[in-house]
Amino acid sequence: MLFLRAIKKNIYFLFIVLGVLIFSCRFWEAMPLIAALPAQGFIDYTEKVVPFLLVLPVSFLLYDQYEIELGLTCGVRTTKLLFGKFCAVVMGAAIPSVLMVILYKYAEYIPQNGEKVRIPIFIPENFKWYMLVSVLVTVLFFASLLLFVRVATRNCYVPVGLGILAYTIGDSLNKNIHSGAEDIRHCLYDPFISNYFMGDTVLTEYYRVGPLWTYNRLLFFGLAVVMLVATFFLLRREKLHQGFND
Amino acid sequence: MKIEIKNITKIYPRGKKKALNGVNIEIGQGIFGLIGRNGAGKTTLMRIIATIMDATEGEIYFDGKELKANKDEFRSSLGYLPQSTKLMPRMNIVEFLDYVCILKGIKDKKERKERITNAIETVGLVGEEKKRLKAYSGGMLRRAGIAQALIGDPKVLIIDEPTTGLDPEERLYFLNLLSKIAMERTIIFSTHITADIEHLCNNICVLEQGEVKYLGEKANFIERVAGKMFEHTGTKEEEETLRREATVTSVAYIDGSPCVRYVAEKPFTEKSISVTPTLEDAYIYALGGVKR
Repeated sequence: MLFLRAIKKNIYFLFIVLGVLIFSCRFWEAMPLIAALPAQGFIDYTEKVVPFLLVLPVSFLLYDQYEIELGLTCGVRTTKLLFGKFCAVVMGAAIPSVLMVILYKYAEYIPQNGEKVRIPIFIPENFKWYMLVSVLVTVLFFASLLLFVRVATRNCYVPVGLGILAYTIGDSLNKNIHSGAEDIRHCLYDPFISNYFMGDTVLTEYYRVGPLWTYNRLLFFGLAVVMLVATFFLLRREKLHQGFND
Repeated sequence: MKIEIKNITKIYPRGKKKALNGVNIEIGQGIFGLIGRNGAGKTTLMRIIATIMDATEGEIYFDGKELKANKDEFRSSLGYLPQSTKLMPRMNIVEFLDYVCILKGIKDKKERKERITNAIETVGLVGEEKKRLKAYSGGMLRRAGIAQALIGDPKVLIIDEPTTGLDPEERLYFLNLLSKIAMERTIIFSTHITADIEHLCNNICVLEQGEVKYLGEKANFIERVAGKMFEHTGTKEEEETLRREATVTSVAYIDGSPCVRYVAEKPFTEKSISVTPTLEDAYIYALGGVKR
């Protein structure tokens, strides 16, 4: 009930994101300036920035002492209250991210030299599942990280700060691997590994070094689960609301 | 519902001072007033009873059952109005109460609607349903808070300093509302304004620095200063002398002359007249008189 309510309350947000997404897909070609800004244009934007920005609200979940206390006095555990909202945010981030991935098929990638190239997505038979699972794990990982830090520190600024730091490190590692400045084996620790599904020279190398993608996704999924379980145990003390006035 | 508070002590992890020190109180049906100055430990005690904070030591029992072991059962019959007046500023009263109903586990939409309508009528907010809570006045917010606390038809209501910042009309409306809903309920009402509980509660507890200064009937509390209460209108020098030699409960300046209410075994001079003590006089006396 709480989860459904949270989804209902945030549904407008989803439409805004979808609107932006469709706008971006439809008009990307007409906006070479925007497309030229990030090195990888639309791909970078959809794979990294959008999921991260959409999970960022996790840092601000239940940052209201009154709401937590109200929940407690109504007999609702903070765990239930927080995870209900968490799932709503994760869904709000996952749906547009997944849709973006699907829309890749129709998107066009404009390199900085202005040349128009259709994205040569590597398409094994189950490419959609690879792509979807990859993006979902990225969303879940960052959401869990923000939630864990939010609960552990009982603060909203610390998770935002640490989240941006983790994002920057991940992004930097991803770019370094992509440009060949970093050993390809380091992509095991790259939270944005789905980039390798975009056809380029790195993809060939990626396949050469074995099932790194599987290990990478398992690693980040595992980390996400560990952080969620740790958050659950932290919340069991039902002291998230304390520290506001103590 | 009967609530027994036994030997409750609370020490905050970051502070060395005891917020509550061995508090023992028994609360029965009706409105129970908890008075004390700011920082006396009222809110801490309220939050411990409301199960949102654990005590460092001691136990609380409701109808003979241990609170900590039966939290869920107690919460199902609890309504709580915290000191904060923020509520949910972006919601209107209907959305807010609907959310509370969901938290209370009321799944049936029709039942929720019925309860919300009743609660809004009880607190007199009919016609204000479309306004967001952030547009409500302090008094309206308090009433919305009471509606929230009443929505699950609780047997126990915990209301923490509800009249702070209200204008006299809103305050009276709120106090009348409380007396109306007090039937068949246990209401624990905390305040630092003695006038709030003057006509509302029979049983009171005075908290000072985390300790119980007085517990019992309000009439007996006032009785403690009966026959010792005087009023003296004189000079500033006399005021200073009274401050040193008696327990001054209030000073009002009338045409430049101080009119001092004080507690003493006998009148200071012949000019002093005996007056009927109020709850405020007894309370200030219990706290050791006014310092400034």
